[in-house]
Amino acid sequence: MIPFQMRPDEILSETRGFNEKLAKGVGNLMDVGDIPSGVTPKEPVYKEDKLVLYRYKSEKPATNKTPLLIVYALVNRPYMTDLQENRSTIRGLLDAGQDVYLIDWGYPDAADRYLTMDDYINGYLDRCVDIICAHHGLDKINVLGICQGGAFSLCYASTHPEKVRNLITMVTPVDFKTPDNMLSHWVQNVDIDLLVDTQGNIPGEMLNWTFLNLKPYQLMAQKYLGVVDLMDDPKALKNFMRMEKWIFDSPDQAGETFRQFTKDFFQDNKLMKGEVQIGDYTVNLRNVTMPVLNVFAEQDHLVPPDASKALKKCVGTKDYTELSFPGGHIGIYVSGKAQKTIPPAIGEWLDKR
Amino acid sequence: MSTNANSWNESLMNGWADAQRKYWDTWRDFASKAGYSPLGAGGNGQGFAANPFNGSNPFAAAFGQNPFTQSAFNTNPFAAASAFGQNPFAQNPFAQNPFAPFDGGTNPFTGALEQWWATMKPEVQGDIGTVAERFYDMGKNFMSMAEGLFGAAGQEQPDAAMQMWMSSMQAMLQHWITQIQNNMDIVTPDLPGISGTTLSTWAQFADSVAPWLNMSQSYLKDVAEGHLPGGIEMPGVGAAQEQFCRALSVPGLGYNREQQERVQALARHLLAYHEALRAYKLAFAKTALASLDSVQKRLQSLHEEGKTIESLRALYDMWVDASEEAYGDFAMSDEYQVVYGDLVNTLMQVRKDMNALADQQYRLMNLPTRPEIDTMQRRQQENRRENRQLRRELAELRAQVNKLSEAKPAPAAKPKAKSNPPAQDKLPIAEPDDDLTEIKGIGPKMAEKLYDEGIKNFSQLAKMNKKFAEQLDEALKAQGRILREDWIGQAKKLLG
Repeated sequence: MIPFQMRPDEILSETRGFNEKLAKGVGNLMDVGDIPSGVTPKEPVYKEDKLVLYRYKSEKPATNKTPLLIVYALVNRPYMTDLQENRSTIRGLLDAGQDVYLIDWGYPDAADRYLTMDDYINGYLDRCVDIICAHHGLDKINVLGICQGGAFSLCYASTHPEKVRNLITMVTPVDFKTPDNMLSHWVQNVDIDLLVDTQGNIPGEMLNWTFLNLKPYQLMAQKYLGVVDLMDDPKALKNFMRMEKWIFDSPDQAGETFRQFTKDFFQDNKLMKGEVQIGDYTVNLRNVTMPVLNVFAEQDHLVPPDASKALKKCVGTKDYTELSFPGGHIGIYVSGKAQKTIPPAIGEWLDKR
Repeated sequence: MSTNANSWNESLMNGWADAQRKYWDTWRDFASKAGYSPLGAGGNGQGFAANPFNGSNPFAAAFGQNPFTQSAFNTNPFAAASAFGQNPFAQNPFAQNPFAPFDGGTNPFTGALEQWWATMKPEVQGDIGTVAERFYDMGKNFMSMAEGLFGAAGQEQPDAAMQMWMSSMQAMLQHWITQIQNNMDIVTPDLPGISGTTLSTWAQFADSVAPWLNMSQSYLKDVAEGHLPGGIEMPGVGAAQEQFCRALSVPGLGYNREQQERVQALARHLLAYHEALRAYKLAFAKTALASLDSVQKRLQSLHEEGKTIESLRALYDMWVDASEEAYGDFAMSDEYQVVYGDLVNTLMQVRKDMNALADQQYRLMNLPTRPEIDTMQRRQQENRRENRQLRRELAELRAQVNKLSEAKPAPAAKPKAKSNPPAQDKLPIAEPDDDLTEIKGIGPKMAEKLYDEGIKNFSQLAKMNKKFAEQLDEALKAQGRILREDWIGQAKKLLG
């Protein structure tokens, strides 16, 4: 006996309703207009190749005299942290009195395929830090790394500890071989050298396909049905489109950087072992001696909480704090609840140090 | 809408027609808003009005003549219009829709949606168009389910309809698995249903990174039929894989031997890719079956709790949840790790071969090849890195030199405390040049000589100690005038 009680006329009426909503909705979709990439005013302070270093403008002067540099992942785009007026981590950090800078890595093209992690970390990132230090007359600044950018920040902080006053890692993988890490599970049997040698840069579409396939049914077969119900609300639709734009806005990843990151971090878990070699430096997390705030999401399907929490045992600092958030990898930046709690908590933690 | 729900009747069909008419009216509004009327004169609107819902089999009759139902089943507007047209990997995943009844050549719900989308598509371009397409894809999945249920519901009680639908899906998946297991053809059919959507995104990816896969198909076909490149014919080579593989291992002969071998390697690797794709799809299909079991279990427990499902959405959501769960288990299995890795690796190997073939052609045309460009780019990046390093070292050395040269005359120098440069900036701020002839004993000629020695202002003179002054005197051949005429003292006075 199957507990399904729908008569044909009910089926018809539901599908008719669906069709109508969808038809109207697509009409609204055409009227959505341009979706901005980030909403908080900012000014470029440094450019190099495709990289732009931005400083965000705040209505009131920063109370914390040590600026905060946000280092985003190479996958997807950093405006996730500044999606809409009432959902902006950047805005929250400004309101918490921080002087916020952010590195926009840009979109690498085929000519950038030989950019290595050395170029990114000891090159681009280090120069951005120098620029900010010089501008403020400081020796060290605060760094906030997100996801892959968090892993980069850890590498940087361990090899240039004299330039990092406080380090915040958000949804950052450290142990890449926890049993629940689906991405890592998949990539173990992939011939990364063949992939990079053949492809050059790794196309954003491929990375995107991989991420979507972590939850394909929800992300590809269900999400949009739910949205059909709110398509008659132009504002809700626009907000949906912001997120949608962001999700599919995936830059290609420089081939050599992808090679090292995937082989050393995902396949060989070298960050945990202290064996990552970046240019002339060996990354030993014991050298991360500055205060560390590790923020992770409890329902993160991309970076499982255990992958982040592993940091506790590896870092050399005595001042280590964890902040967990009941949400997902993206929700930690955009949910209303996250907006109320995370940026103020970061601001408070920084102000004490 | 009919109240006598469990049988087909005219009012029900009219209800559907009304719904569609409304639907198309709405759509026509958009079209006219956009100044574009793809319906044309006497188009679908009329077709609908004239549609006689009175055949002995109303469904087949009505939709048989319905212009909307010249649907994607036969002529997929996407396939024709898009790059997937010739790509066997990207067959329309809905072509073998498990939700639809087996014998149902008609597909009114999705047919209408498809038709709508095909005409709508040119109107929505760019980002919006891409998103709209995602809505459309998902809507179609949803509609397929409705369709399957609706078709079955016409004949049976709701729960029996559901049962029928489930069984038909199960049968379809089983059929598909058997088909793919026994299939010795090169190209495997696509997986039906929601899982097919997931897989078709792989096809799109494979397509987007590898437009040459289409081309490779014809290569493969040629080789399979015994036409080897270079005009070599190998009669008797059929498409059966074993023979095919043997043929591919025949050593190349003659002048274009290398090229032959390259093509043979490509064909072997292409086969390996298809094998990997087949294994991947098969594993996926088994997961889809598992999710079907899971749906049944969920339904059973709902029944035991005395609850019922009362909307298509609720059913669809349950379906998605069950599928996700089954998929999650599958994705974390060792099997998945293997089939996934093989899929990516074999695709890359094919692509590598294709690149080599393309490069061979470029070389013949005296055009730059990928390996050459790679070499240049790698060297260029190494140079840039080295440049940065050298510039950094240079700046450090310069700072050190400045420090040293500032430190030297220190004993004689009065510490000047005005306008300090920023602490982090190690380069001293250059002081303006002075007119050295203001010092008694220094004429224009001597001033020039001093300039050549790097002495350009009073403060430099003022900082000099005796030993330095003697050395400078010698260099200028000034015969002791520097100390005798007290240039140092004069400079100090001029500085105030």
